[in-house]
Amino acid sequence: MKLMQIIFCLLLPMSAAADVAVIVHPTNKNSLAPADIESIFMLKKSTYADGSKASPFYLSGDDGTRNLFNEKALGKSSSQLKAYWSKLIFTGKGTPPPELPSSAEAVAKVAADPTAVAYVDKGAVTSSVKVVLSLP
Amino acid sequence: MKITQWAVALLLINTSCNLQAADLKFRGFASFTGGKMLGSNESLYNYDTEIDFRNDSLIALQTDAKLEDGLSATMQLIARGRNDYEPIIEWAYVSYDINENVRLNAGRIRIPFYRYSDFIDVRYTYNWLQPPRTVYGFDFPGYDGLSLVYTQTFGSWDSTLQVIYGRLEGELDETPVTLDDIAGVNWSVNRDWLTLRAGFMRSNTNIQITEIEQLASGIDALGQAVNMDLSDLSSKLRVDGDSGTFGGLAMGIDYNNILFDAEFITYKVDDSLLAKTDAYYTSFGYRFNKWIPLLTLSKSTSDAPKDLLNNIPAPLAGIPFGPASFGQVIGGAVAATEAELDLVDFSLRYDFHSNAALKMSVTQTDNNKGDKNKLLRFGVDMVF
Repeated sequence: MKLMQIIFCLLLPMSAAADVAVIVHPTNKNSLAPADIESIFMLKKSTYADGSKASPFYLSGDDGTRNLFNEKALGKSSSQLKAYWSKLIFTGKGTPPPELPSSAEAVAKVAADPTAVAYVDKGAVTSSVKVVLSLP
Repeated sequence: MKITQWAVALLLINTSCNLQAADLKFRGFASFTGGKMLGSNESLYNYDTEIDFRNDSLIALQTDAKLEDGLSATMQLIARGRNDYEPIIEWAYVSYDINENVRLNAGRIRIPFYRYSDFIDVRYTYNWLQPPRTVYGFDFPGYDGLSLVYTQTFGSWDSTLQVIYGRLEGELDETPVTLDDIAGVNWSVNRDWLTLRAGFMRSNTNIQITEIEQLASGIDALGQAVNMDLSDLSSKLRVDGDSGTFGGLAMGIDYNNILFDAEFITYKVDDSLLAKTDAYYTSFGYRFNKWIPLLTLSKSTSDAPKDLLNNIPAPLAGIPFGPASFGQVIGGAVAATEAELDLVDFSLRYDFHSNAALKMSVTQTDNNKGDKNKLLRFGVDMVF
């Protein structure tokens, strides 16, 4: 048993990530439950509850914000998510949403696009966007 | 063939003349795999007792040209170690999103026999080093035709329905294969941790297997010699435009890091010496964060087409034919297709990088006639 515990501890992820906020345009009046966010970011759904178009944006790179969002909001490790998109990309069934290089650029994008939804480091949120969900 | 050329042409026109309008992306995947048999005098899947790095290694590059209004063109080149890394076009198609739920692909497309068929070469997407070949036995090239994919959400269920139609002309391990009027449908549903899939397919099947051709021409020659029409019998051996059917059922569970997968397939080709074959696997695994050990048990069973023997004219059964009597030779050829193969595979995956996984596997097969083979393989799978 001891050995198993040691192995488990070694296998646990070491990184502690910052808080993540899911943001939309201030005029977007839809409420977004965690299940809606998952559907929109996995491209299983392309519209908000009111029927208007939803355009999700991922963050590029492999930082803490992205990993926390993948795990908490999508329930997938970065490897599992990569496998999910690879299955769609290499079989002609779909392409992943676009990526933005930083939280600051994601905030600027969402502030300018009423259809956009993105996740960012909570510290980057400004009054030009609306927070619909916070992930600890 | 025409459609493929058209898809390639479109892709080329697009890259050369219209770079601004098209969103052009290059992506790829690769596997570098080594392996050797663990016992002396053994061989399996082209491996022998010498270590080999070519058999299962491959690298692929995909170009996607995305145009306005849901139109796109895709080409995938794969270079396989076993073909001396000579690249071939495995997929080449144009896609049109008819609406947000329906996508039509036209061109060269992989036949979706199995749950993992479409991405069988993108080994990063699954946990085995390779799916068990007892079930994943068909390594057909792509067909030329159409594929319609309809995706829809029903409550918390995601549904994907695919309908295909087309024709395949190519080679399977250097054996000429033509599949005419391929028509198929497969449906998979997914909810949270559960995936279910069912598929069915049929085609007019032509496969020129050397041994069958030799036997059938021998029968035709005998018919001429004794002045009897034996073309009915020889045609019942040949795989010559006969109706072939394929069915498959699969399930997958990924619950609290517990992984369970199972798949069952069955196929037959009417009026041919190909045995009706059933195969299945069950696979159990556990995800320890970045490590996934996986145990797979599999079996395939082939039933000899004994009905064929009713077509031997009684007066001919006893006459000499090659090494024995006519009845014995045909009876022996039919009986030889009866087969049973057990497979046990242990695989280990380690996600050492967000784009790559290390894998190893030990595969043992047993034909229940005292012929056992044990293969060790290891390698790295990546996507980029």
